[in-house]
Amino acid sequence: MKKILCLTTAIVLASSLCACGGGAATTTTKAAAATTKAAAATTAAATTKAAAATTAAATTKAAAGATTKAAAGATTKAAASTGTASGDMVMYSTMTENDLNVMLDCLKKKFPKLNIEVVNGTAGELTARIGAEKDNPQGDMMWGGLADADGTKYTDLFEHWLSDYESQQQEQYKSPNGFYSMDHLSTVALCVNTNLEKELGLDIKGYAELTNEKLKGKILLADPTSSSSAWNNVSNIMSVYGNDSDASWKYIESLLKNGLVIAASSSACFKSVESGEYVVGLTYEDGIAALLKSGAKNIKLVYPAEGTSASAFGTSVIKGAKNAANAKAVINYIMSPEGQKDFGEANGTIRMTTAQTINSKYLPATNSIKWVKRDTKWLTDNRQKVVDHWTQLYTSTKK
Amino acid sequence: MVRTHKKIDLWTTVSFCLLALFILFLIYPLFGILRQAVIGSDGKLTGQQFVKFFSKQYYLDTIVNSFAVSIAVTVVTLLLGVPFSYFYSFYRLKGAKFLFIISVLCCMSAPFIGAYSWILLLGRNGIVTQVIEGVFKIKVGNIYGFRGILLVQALKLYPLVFIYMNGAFKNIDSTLMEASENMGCTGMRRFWKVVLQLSMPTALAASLIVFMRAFADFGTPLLIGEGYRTFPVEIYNQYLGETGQDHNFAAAISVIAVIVTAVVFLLQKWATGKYNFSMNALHPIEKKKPKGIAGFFIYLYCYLLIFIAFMPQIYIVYLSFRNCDQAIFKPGFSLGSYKLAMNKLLVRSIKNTMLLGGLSLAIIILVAILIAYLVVRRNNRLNNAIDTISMLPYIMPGSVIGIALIIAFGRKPLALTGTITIMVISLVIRRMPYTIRSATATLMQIPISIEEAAISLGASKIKTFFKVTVPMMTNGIVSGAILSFVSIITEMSSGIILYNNKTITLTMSAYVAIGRGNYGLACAFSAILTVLTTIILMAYLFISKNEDIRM
Repeated sequence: MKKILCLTTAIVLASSLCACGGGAATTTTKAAAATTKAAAATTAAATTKAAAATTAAATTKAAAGATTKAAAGATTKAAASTGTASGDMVMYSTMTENDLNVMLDCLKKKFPKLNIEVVNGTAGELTARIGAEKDNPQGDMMWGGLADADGTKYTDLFEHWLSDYESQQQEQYKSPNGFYSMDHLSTVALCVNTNLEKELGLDIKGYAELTNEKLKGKILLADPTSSSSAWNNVSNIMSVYGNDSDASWKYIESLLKNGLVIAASSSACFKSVESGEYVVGLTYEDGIAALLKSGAKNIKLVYPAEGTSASAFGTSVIKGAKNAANAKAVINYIMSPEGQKDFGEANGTIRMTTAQTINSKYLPATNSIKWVKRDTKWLTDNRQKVVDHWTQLYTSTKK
Repeated sequence: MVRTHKKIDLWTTVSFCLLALFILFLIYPLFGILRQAVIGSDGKLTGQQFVKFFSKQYYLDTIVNSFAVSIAVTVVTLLLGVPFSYFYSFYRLKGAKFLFIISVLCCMSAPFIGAYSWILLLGRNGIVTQVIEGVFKIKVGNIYGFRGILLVQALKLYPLVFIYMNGAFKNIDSTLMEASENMGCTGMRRFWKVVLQLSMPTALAASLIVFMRAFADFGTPLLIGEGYRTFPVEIYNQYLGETGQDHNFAAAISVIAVIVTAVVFLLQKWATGKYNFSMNALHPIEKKKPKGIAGFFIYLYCYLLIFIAFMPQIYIVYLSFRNCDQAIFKPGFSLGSYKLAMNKLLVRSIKNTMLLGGLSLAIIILVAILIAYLVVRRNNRLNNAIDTISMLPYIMPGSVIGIALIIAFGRKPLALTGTITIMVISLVIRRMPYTIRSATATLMQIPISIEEAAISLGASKIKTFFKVTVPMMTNGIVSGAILSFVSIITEMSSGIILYNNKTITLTMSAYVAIGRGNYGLACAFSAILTVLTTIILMAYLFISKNEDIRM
């Protein structure tokens, strides 16, 4: 009995040492900075008192984390006003490897003293997480996944602040709700597997070809009830054939009758097409262009001949963020003409919201595409109606 | 024999302590989420969400589908796992340790990566599909839909049955086998009438675990369901969908899931209650050598089964060595993915995986032993309630548990978000059931007369428990503990919500890599996790050889 108690205590103590091991290195350097700030000291005292209730390992981590963040926050407030950011910042992002690598490179050049940590997830996961963490925010900003079609759905999670460049934004890309700064676009596009397309003897140029019997069960779309890229695609269909018109619903029904497959995620819509599981994916240009950038040889990027449109996506500061000043500095850079050009050209697969002409290496020029106008306001207001109609149609055609 | 003691003794205190812990770490977080199910937008009680669920075919389909798949998977895993376990326990197979390790590794593939690998192998454009259609000219269906989910889940979950049944078979007394042979009952008949009946409590426990696991799995149906919509996917979408979030509706669906769990669990308890016996493994089974044609088929069955089940993981290891540029695999081999992994917190991931795994497992084993004792020896309403409560988190999607924990522990005085503690809590409450079920099933078979003998010889209750009862339960505890451990280190769905770069584990690193579209990196992390688990399992096998319990 005693032996077991000793063993368990030893294991727990050893584990808590392990837990402290990683944090110790980072906290020692910041501890010095913390002691010199009076304001930081009082908040640190409060947090350590509160955290005393938890286990030893957690206490040192939580208190250390709070102290460093408070210290960093105080230093960066001063720093932001001079245009540089330093210290820590946590970015919640939905963006993929390609986009994140390029953005982090740009930010490293602009803010060499800033240490950015990225937490990944889908838009749904991240917003749910931010909402759950609202009493103790762990993140500072969110980049990607915040769509213009969101309306006011998530505005209580973010700070009511827009970048310094909001007044210079083009009219259609101004903030839809006063919280999101819209920095990039996601244009609806089709990902087509050229090998399979050749085998079937087709030439897919747009929506009309998708009702061809040969493509039965070979077209992929994410779930419009839960994925923003799928909603983007449905919005485009509505924009082409008319919002909530008979023509739109007739087209959607014909797609469903042609065995439209609902994908697990937005990325499956281009990734699974590339791996040959499907022939066409209704998706967005960045996903397809990123694959082309990585060297994919068997797919092509097709904008629907009937017309395409884009959702604007944005970035925002999380409410109550510990490093809000750093986050604001970063967002100001992303929204600035300099930042837009740096990122847009280094990346080459995303269209930006800036009015400047940017050479995107992997995207066709803006004026070579047929654009249709999208009534984002109507779509946002009537989203539930459209989704309900969709689920009803989906269930009835699946019988 | 069940005794009820009216006076407050040590075990009553343990009961209340456990209840208090469960209330704090389990009921309080879940309650916060679940009560949204009955609160309408105006703040008043309403059953509107439930009406919405049951009135629309779109949603009812999900429950029907989930049940169909789970029942099918349970049956198939029993069909696969029980013979496999029988051969492993009753025959001296060459390479038995290898079989054991590979089986355990099969059930530990993290959901997204495993399914992704299956698609690469058996999808429409899959490698195996192309080989079979090209060489054998047989038209193989593809892996999507109901068939695919059944195949993937059955191959992933049969090790659960295998491991549980091993524990049970080890406890069978060979004198019983000889006695039945004396009476003319041998071979298959003996298997059905004697062996299986003796191990029925464990078989039922295994079925419950498999059923729940299949029911609650959302990674597999999400990726290869292709329109076959199941329950947990719906919960996930309603909580975490990008555009269609409705937390009240999601809470309602979660409540339904909890009720389903409770009902199935009570059914299982009732069925197990009919097998009230105990036995002593004074003479454990002596393994025979497999001979002749029968022997050949035994070897063929065992090795073929593990080969098919392990194929996706082999493929992942292969892919981890290929050249990869984010989402595109290029020809040629290199260590590029591993070098990238080193830059992406590999060492920290490994450290965290071990730390979280070890700590959670220690807590789980302790709690499971206590609960098993309370449920079997002190059978009363309170202890049964504790037992049922412990099963609840098992069925809820991990992401929901993650959200519930953040909301419950987001504020002072218990501000635990972003710490290792909250991850440990999440792992413990989600993975306890494996060990609890196996410990309970084992304890049921141990006669109380042995404990009474120890007490009458002067040992205190605590000493009896730790020096007599627990060692006798070891086989059962260990089998459940292995499963708990393996599922802990592949924990992902609650990690999605709770992780940050300080608490990231190997599985989370792989998930992040997939989310970011970096498939080679994900394969590298998975491969490393496989190697790590293999090392741990080999260590366990090595140690347990020296600590055989002999009565």
